[in-house]
Amino acid sequence: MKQLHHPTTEDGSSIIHILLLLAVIAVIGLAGWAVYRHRHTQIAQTAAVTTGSQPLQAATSTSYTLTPGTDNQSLQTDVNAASGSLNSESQTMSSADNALNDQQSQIQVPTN
Amino acid sequence: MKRLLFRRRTSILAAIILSVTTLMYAPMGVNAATSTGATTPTTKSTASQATAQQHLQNIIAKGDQEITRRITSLNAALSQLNATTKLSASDKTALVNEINQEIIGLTALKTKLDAETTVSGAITDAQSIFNDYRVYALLLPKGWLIRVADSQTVNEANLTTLSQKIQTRLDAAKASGKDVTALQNELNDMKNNITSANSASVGIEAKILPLQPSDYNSDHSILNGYKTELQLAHDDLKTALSDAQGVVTGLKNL
Repeated sequence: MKQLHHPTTEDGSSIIHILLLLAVIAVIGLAGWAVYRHRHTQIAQTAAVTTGSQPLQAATSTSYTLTPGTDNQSLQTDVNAASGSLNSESQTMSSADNALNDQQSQIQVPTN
Repeated sequence: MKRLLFRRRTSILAAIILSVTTLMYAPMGVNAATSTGATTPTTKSTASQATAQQHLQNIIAKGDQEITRRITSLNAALSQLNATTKLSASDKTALVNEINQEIIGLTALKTKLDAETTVSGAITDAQSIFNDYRVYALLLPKGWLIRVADSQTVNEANLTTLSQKIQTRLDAAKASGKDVTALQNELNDMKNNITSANSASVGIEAKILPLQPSDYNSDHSILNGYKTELQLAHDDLKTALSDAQGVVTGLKNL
């Protein structure tokens, strides 16, 4: 009957002992995970603080003046100037985009 | 006898579990106490104070680093603004003044942070870097968006003038008996796109310019809608330019 309540292996250790050993391993594992998580959070916070804005690009002049004429050459010159100006505007738009995306990075106050 | 042996082994294992648990969690307990400013008696108190002091120094060092980075970015933005040719004088003045105010404020905040002696005070100052200035989240993107808006105003005006010049040529070609129907349709599309761009971008800088950090704190997506409008206007202008190129090419082939 005793063996029924406390079954033992050949070397004398009971199943309860094995379960307790597993519990010890589980506690150590959980503690290790908790420590890892704690440190990982600190690293993430530090990394987040280092995120920053895109460097500002060099300013480019986008002003232009239309030609006075209406002949083909003058119109083509005006179209080319407008094209250059819109390309410059695209770059400014891209910089605005980068700056806006930059705000998405959540910068946290350092806590350690 | 077996039961006695079993009880002893159980007690030993229970003691091991208790010891391991205590050893593993004790350091975290100290950290938790220091982070909340709680005091612990005797030796733990000394360790806690040392940790708090290190904590304070870390916050000050990183806070200073963040403030310096922002001031550098703001100074670069000032140079950018002064070199910009399409920004209206009033917008340029407003942005330059705002940036200068932020630089002054952040410089004062750095002095305050450096003098902090408590962790809670340093954290408050560090939070102020973000919450009260919003350099990267609001001010710099705002400056870029205003530059885009002003650039669009210039481009819309120039493309309108160009469309008028092209219209003059088309009228002359039509008067001389040329069939300009297709070209006129393309020119009309150009004009419609300029009008559409103008309706999207007009007055947008007047809406963006007054935005303050408190506005951003209330709504983190506050700039996104304006950016979308400017992007649509930009696309319209590109279509208008494409139309202009098409008509000019057609005029050459008449």
